[in-house]
Amino acid sequence: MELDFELALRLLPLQLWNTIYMVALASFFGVLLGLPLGVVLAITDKGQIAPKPRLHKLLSTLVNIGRSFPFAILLVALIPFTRWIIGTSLGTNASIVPLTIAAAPFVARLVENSLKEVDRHIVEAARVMGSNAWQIVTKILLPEALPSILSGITLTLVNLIGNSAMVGLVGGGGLGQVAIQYGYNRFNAFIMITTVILLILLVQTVQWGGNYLVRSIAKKRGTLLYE
Amino acid sequence: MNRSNKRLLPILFAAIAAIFPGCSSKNSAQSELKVAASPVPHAQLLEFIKPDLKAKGIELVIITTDDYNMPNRALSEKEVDANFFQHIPFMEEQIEQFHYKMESLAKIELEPMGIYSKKIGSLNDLPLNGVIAIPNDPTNEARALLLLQKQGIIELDDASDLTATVLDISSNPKNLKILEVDAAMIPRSLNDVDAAAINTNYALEARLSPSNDALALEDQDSPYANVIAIRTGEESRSDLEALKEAMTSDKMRDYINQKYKGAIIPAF
Amino acid sequence: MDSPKKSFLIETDSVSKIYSQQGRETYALQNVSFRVEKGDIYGIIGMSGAGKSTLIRCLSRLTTLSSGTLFFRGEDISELEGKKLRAFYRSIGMIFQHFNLLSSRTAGGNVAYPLELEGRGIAERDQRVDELLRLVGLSEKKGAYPSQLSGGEKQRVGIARALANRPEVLFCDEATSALDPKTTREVLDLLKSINKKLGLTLVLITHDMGVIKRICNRVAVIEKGQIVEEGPVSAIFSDPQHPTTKRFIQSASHDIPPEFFKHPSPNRKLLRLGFKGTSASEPLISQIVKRFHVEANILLGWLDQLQALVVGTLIIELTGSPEGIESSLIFLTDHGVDCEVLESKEMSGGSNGT
Repeated sequence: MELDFELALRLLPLQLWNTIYMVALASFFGVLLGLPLGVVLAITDKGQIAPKPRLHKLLSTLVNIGRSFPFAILLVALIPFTRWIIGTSLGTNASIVPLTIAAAPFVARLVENSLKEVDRHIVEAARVMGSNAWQIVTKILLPEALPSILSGITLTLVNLIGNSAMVGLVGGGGLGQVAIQYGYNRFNAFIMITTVILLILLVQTVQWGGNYLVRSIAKKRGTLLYE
Repeated sequence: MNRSNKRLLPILFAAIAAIFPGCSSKNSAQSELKVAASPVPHAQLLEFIKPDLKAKGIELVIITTDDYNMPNRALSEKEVDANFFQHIPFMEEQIEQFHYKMESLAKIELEPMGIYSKKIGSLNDLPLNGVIAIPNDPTNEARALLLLQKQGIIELDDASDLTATVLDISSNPKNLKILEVDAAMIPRSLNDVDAAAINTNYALEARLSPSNDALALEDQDSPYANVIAIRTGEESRSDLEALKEAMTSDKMRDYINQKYKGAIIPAF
Repeated sequence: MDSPKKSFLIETDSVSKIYSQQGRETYALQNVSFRVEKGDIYGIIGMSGAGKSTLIRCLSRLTTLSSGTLFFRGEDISELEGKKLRAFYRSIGMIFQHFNLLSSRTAGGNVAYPLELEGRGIAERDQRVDELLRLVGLSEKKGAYPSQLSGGEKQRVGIARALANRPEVLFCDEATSALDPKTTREVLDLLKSINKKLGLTLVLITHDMGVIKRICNRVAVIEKGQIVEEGPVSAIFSDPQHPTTKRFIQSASHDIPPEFFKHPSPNRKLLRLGFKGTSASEPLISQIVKRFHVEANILLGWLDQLQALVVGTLIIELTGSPEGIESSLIFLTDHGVDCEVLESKEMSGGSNGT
């Protein structure tokens, strides 16, 4: 195996940055869209604090549709929409749109599950103190579910790192594109290995960071199960 | 083996041959010839001569695919008898990497790669800091860069490098951004770039006409003629010889010229 | 005699609650009617599934009534919804068996929650939180998280939280059922002192007669969704009528070991005698021995402290002629002793009445 350090140095720093940039922004917007969506899904379901069956069914179906698309197909299907928002369908910035649209329904489901897991007796106690739905969401559900939600966001980030490998289709750059174009298409084993190592390190860092945050909250609240 | 077993064996073989037709070595009526091909124009050309082969007792089975790796793998694993989708540089690359034992049966046609644009009418109008999209797979990326070089838009470190990438551009006077994009995706994104290099098969699928719409085209000297590829040593097979004859006939030449009007040129 | 409704803090009038499951309807509560006066510590006791949880959820309007009327301060609150219901919620307080504190907030933060709902300012909230924590004796735990508190401390936080907006009534949903006996007593004493200090009315549900004994002044016994007995605690305790009530009371005292039951005969009877107040100080046993020529073998005895009232119980074996035994029983009853002949194990309650 030829140790193509020169090629690696020319390619990898920029593409590593592209991956981080894309994934960070797509996560941010994905959470911005997905979190409120998840809240609405959680509280409008049957037996929850503000049941609205028709609305819940509609949103749930939309989320399912979003989750059903294989990412590569989502990329292509969103081209007109991406063009409308960014002005072009190609490049790194344009890739953020389909990544966000892939992330949002995923975040919504995770948030919905996290909120539904909050002890219903606590919600009941809040109700009998005269809380309205907004107060229950902001003062009870979200704070109580915070560690769970943070775990979910960490999962989303890792998921997006995986999805970002496909954006080479639209010239989005990133480590995935390098791995496919040079590692796979041009059989450059050295590049392939270095990009995979970088991706592993990236995922490890994200996962570690997420775990650290969740642990420190649990420590503060004294809800850490294992030392 | 006792006497009763001996009589059983031919019956067994006949039964198997009847259930699995492929097991019989020669069906006296028709023999099958399986060819993997890209849809446009390769499969179309094969369809054209299918009746001619049928008259010779050869049933041509055409398996279409857009994938660039499957046809050679299928050929090597004897799932098909020939394929028709690639040019020689690509084939040689695949041979080097996968150690396939294959060769070109005949050069058939050339699809000149073209530069297309929805924004400008001539390559001289390329704006400063404009964007050009090119395919991101090794062979076609080099092909596009060589075409751009021939049109005087950029210069490469090694002017005849068939494995050039954007990293090998030595001169880019208009400071153009050369974006590497999946080859099949480029036609969809024409609106987003100032110009793009597109393979003819994808251009045709996107209803672009190389002769009318392209701002520039590869010429006949191009090393990228598409060939029918077969496994090494099989060139004297009668069905493959019939295929070669049909595909390089005058009838085929006329057909290509008439149907594709210069978008595709015969390479024989 | 009917008093005007206004004098009762809470009144229920034929309240029923029906649950339908797979086409079948079950009555969780059936025609429940009683009244709670301001200042009462009103206990509701029943076994599991008797309907007491449903009842307290109806009283606090956590759930709707299927039929009947519920009055609070003379106002019909049976059908309240939305904003008005939330306004009612803010005038009551509630504590729970499993405390239901927010794990994401400190003790102080939990107590502050209702104050935030009322829109109080930070300084005002802080002051009130300190006041409440002082009231329940947890000032030094203000910054502790619930996971760092014991069960008793958590319930105190729950009490402080429930009192934040000065409610008129505090509902207690099996508030001590998850606590050990010592902590239970401490929490009950705290509730009693709050009732005295602030004039706060309490309505509590429990399966433990000991709770009723310790702090309640009135009690209702509930069985299969209906109130089977209701009244002042002293009366119910010394003279229970309904078999369920009797079972509960016996469980609050002692179980009689089965060895004491022998085959019944006309010349020998096993008796349970209940002495209230003054009759406990008279030498009634020695008198019946002398007068009616019976032998009294004292097997078991205990005293119960029912707040201000003392009730004594004796299990004795009386041997003698049938007439002598009969006369003894009449004599004792005339002197205010509650007599009960024990025939078999069933009559003295084999279970704990939970």
